[in-house]
Amino acid sequence: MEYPIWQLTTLGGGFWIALIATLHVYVAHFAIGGGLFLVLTEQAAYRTGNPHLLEYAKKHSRFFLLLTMAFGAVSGVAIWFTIALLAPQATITLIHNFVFAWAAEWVCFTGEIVALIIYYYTWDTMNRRDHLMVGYIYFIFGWFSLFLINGIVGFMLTPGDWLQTRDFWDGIFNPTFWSSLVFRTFFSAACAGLFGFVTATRIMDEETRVSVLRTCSAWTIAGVAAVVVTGFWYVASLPTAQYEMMLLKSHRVAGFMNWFWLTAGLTLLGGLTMALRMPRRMTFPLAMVVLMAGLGLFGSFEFIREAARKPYLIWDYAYSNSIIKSHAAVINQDGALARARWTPPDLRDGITADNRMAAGAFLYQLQCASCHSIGGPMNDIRKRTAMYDTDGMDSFISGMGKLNPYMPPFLGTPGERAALAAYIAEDLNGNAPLARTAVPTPEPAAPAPFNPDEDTHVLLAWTDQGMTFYAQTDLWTLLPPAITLRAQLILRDPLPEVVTSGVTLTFAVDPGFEGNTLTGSLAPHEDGGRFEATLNVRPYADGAFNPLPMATIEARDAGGQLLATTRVALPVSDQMGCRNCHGGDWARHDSGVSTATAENILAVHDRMNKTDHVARSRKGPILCVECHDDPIQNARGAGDRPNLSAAIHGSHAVYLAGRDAEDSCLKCHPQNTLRGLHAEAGLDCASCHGQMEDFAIALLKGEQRAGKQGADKLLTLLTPRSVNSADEINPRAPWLAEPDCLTCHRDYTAPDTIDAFNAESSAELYSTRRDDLGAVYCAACHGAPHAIHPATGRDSTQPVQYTGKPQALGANGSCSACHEFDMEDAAHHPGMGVE
Amino acid sequence: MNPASLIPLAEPIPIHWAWFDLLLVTTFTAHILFMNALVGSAAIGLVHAMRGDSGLAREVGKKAPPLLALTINLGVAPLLFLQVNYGQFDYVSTVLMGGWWLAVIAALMLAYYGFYAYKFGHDSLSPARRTALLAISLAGTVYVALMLSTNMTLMLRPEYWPQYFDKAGAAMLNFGDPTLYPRFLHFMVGAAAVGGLFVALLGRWGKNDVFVDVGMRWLTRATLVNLGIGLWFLISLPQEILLAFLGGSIPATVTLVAGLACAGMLLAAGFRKQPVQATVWAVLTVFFMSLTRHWLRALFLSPWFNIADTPVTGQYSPVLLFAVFLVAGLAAMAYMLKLYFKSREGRA
Repeated sequence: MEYPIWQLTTLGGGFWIALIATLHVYVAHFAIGGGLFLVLTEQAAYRTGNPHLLEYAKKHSRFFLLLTMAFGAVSGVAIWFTIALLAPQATITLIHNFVFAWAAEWVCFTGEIVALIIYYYTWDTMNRRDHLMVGYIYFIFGWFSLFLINGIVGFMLTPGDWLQTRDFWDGIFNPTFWSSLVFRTFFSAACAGLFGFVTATRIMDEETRVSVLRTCSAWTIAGVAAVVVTGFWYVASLPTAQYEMMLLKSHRVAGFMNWFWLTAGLTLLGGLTMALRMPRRMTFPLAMVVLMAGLGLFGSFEFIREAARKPYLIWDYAYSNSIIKSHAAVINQDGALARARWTPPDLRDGITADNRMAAGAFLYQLQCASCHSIGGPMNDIRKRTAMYDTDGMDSFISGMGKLNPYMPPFLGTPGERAALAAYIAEDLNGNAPLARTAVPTPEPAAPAPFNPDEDTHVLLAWTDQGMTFYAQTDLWTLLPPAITLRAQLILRDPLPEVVTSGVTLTFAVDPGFEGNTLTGSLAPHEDGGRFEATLNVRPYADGAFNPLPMATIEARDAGGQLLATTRVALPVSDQMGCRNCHGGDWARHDSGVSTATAENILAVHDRMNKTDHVARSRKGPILCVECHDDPIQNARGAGDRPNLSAAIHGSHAVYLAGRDAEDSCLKCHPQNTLRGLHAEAGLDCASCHGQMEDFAIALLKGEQRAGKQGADKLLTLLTPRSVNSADEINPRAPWLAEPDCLTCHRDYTAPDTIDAFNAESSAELYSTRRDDLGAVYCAACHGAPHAIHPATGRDSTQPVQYTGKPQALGANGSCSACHEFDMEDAAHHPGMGVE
Repeated sequence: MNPASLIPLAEPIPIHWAWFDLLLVTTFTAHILFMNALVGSAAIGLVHAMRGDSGLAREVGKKAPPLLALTINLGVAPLLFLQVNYGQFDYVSTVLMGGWWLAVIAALMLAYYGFYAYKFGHDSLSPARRTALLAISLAGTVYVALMLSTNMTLMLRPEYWPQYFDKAGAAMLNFGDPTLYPRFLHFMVGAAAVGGLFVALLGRWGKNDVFVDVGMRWLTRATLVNLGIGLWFLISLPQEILLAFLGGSIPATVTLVAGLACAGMLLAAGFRKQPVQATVWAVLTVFFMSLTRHWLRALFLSPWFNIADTPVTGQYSPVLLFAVFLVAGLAAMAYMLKLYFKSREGRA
C-alpha cells in the first residue's frame, strides 16, 4: 500500500520470481555441495594418482565457476531485484529486520568469490595442500551462506516468536531453521551429484568415467534419499497452521506434492541408471535428463514451500500482495483507494461511473497482480474467472481468504470490491453482467365450478410448500422433485364436518406436464383430518417452463358419485441459479442446472473438500445425501458432516455475506418463490427467515449442537447481521423448524413488526397446523406458505371458486362457502373479520 | 499533487543510521574502484583492439571475469545498506523503472558470459568477432551503470515521480533530469582514468612498460576531462545544492575540496608515471568522491526527509553476527591471498 506498482500483465503473477528463483536455487545448492564434491574429487585424484581424475577435477572446476559464480551470483541478485520490484514492502521488511544477516551473508559471498577465483586460477601454481585448503574454505563460506539465507527464507514461512517479539534471533532461528538447514544441506549434496554427471560424461578414459559417474550416483541417491527422510522432519517441524496448509488444506500444494514424489522417483532412478556402464554417447543426454528431473524435484519443493506460505509472503504478517495483515481493518474502513499511497489522482476522490473500470484495474494491480497474470503462464486470472459475471465475481471476491484460505481476503469497501469485480468480469473477460433471471408469471387458471346452492361438499387442497424446488442433473442429485399435495373434504352445513372416510380423492395434473406421478389418489393421513399424496411433477408443459402446474382434485363417494372438484397450483421449480457463480447456462428455458454448471460445482467441492466427485460422477450421479443428511429426504448422511441445508447455506453465506435477500437467497432459489400477500406487502425472504448469514448460523448451530465438527469451521467464517453475536441466534433444524406466523401475527392480528427470524418453532408447521377447533388446516383456507391468498391468479384459483375472490376462505364474510350461511363468531381463530 | 504524499513510510532500522551510511560509503568506494578497473580497462582494451592492437585487450580481457565477479559482489553491500537508510526512496525509483531495472540482470549476464567467452575463446575467434564480443560485453556493463545512475538520481527527485501516473503505470526513466548526464559521464570517465591506472599496474606487475605508459596516459587525460565533467555536474545541480558545495555546507564543501586535492595528487603521480602512489591517491579520491555523493544525496533529500526521524529499534546484538562473520571472513580471505601470493612467488 506504500509503493507504486510495477504493472505487469502477461508476465505478471510471479512469473519472474518463479523463473529466476527456481533456476537460482538449483544452481545455488550446487554451489555448496558441488564445492565439497570438487575438493574431495581433487583429493581422490591425488590419492589415487589418476591423471584423468585430476584433469576431470580441473575441467569440472571451470564448469563450476562458469555456472555458480556467473549465473549463480547474478541470478541471486536477480531474485533480490525481482522481489523488490514485485513486493517492495515485504522486501524492505526483510532487509530492515535482517540487515546484519544479509551483511554476514554478503561476507560469505565475498569469501566464496575470492576462494573460487584463487582455486580456479591456481591449479598449476599452488601446492596441493594449499589448493585443497582453499577449496575447503570455499565450501565453508558456501555452507555458511546457506546457513544464513536459510534462516531468512524459513522466517518467511515460519516466523515463530518473531511475530510477537520482533526479535532478530527469533526470526532467524525460527521453528523450521534446523530441519530446513539439514534438508537443504542434503539437497546440495544431491545437486553435486546431479551436476557432476554432466561433466563426468565427458571424461574420455572409460574407467575413470565410470568411476566418477558412480561417485556422482552415490551423491545423488544418498542426497535425494536423505532429502526425503529429512523432508519428513521438516514437515513435522512446521507449526500447525502451516502444516495444515501444506498437507491438508491446499489443493495446489497437493499438485506440487505429486510432482515432488514423481521427480524424486525419477531422480533416484536416473541416478541409479547413471551408475551403469554405458557408451559415452548415451551418458550425456541421459545426464541432462536426470539433471532436469532434479530441477523438477527442487522446483517442486520450493513451490510447495511457497504454496504452503499462502496467503502470506511473511506468515501472519504480510499477505501475498504485500499488504500488512494488521492494516486490514483500516483499509476495509477507509477503502483501499484512500489508503494506498500510489492511488492515481483521478481515483482519489472515489469511484464514479466514469472511473469505475480504472479503479478496478488499479485495485487489481494492487491486490491481485502479485499472484495472477493476465493471459500469462502464471495463475492466469482470465482462465480462473472466465465463468463469472460481475456479480458472481463480486461474491467470489467476498469469500476470498475464508473458505479458501489460500488467497488473502480482499481489503477495501464494498464499492471497491464491485469495481474490481466489474474490471475482471467485464474488462478482462468481456463477460456482460448476466440479465436478472426472469420472474415466471404463468397465466391465471380457470377455477373449477362451484354452485353454492346445490353443491354438498367443499374440497380444499394445498401443497406443503409454496415453491417446491428441486435440483437434479445427470451428475448429481441435490433434491429430487417431490411435492406433497394435501386436501380436506368438508361437508357443507351450518355446522360443517370434515369428511375423512367413505370417500376417494384423486388428482390429475393438467395434460402436457412432465412427471412420473401425474395422476393418482390421495391417501387418508394418520393425522385424521386430511388426505395426502406425494407427486413427482416437473415444471415443463409441452416443453415450456411453467413452475405452477395445475392439478384437478376430485372427491367421490363409495359409489363413485362425484362429490366435489377443485383446482390447485402445484408450485415446483428447478430454476436454481447455480450458474450465476458456477458458470454454464440454463439447462433449458431459463431453468434447470446444466451439465457444465453441475460439473463446476463438483470441481469446486473437490477443491474445497478434497473429494473426488468429478471423477466419481462419471460412474453415475452422486447423491448429495450420501454424505449430507437431509430431513426432507429422510436421509441420514454419513460421518460428522453438516446436513445438506447447513452445508449449502453455510458455505454460500460466506460468499453472499452483506447482501439483501434478492441478491443472496434469490441468486440461488427460484425467482417466484415468494408470491401472494407477503410479497405484495413488500416482505422478502429475510423478513421471515433472517438474513443469509443469520439463517446459515442458525442451521450450523443446530449441527454444532448435534456434535458435528464440520459445522465449526463454517461458523467461524460467518458474522451475524441482525444480532451482535452468534450466541444470540437459536439453533434450528432445516425443514423441521420454520418461522411461525404467530411471531408477527400475534393473536392473529395484523403485525406491528415484521421479523419472524430466530423464533422458529418445530412444534407446529404452518402447512400441517389446524385452527382453534382442530378442524381446518391453516393452509386449506390461506393457501400454501409463500403463496398466501390473495396470490397470483393461478395460486388463488381455489378461493375464487368458492368465494368469487382471491382471498382467504372465510374472509370478508365468505363463511357461507362451507357454512351455507353467514356466521357471527370467529370460531376458527380470532380476527376473521366477523367480530 | 504533492510528491511528498508519495513517499512511503520509513520502516524502523535496528541501530543508529550513521553506521549504515558509513558502511554504505565504504563499500561503495570499493565497488566503484573495481567497477572502474573493469569498465575502464575493458574500454581501453577495446579502443586498442579497434586500432588493431589486440595485446592489451587480451591481457585486460583475462582479468575481466574475476573483476566483474568482485564488482557485482561489492555492489551488493552498498545497495543493501542504501536500502536500509533510504529504501523508501530507492524502492520507489526501482519500481518506477520496472523492466528497465530488471534488464540490468540480463545485461550483467550478457556481459559476464561475454567476458568469459572473450577470455576462453580469444585465440579461436577472429579479431573482428572477438572485438565485437568485447564491445557487447562492455556495452552490457555500461547499460548497468546507466541504470544505476538513473535509479540513484530518480530516487532523489520525488518531484518527478508523479509522471508515473501520466504513463499509466508503464516503466519510466528520468532522462529529463539535467544532473543525470554529467553524473553518469563523471562515473564513466572516472572509470577510464582508474582503468588506465589498472592497466599501468598490470604493466608494472608484468614488467611491461608499454602498459604503464598507456595506462598512465589514460589516467591523466581522463582525469583532466573528468575535472571538466565534474564542473558541469556541479553547475547542473539546483542552486541551493550548488551553493552548499561552495561553502554553504561545511562537510559537503570540505569533502569536495578533499576529493579535488586528492585528484590533484593523483594527477601529479600520473604525470610522474608512479602507479603505486597514483593508486593510493585514486583510492582516496574515490573515497572522498563517494562521500561527496553521500552529501549530495542528503542535500537532495533534505526537503523531503530527515533520516533522524527514522525509528530505531535499538537491537544491537545482530551486529555481533556480522562482526564475527566479517572478522573471520576477512581473516580467511587474507589467508587465501597469502597462499595465492606464495604460489606466485613459487612460480616466479
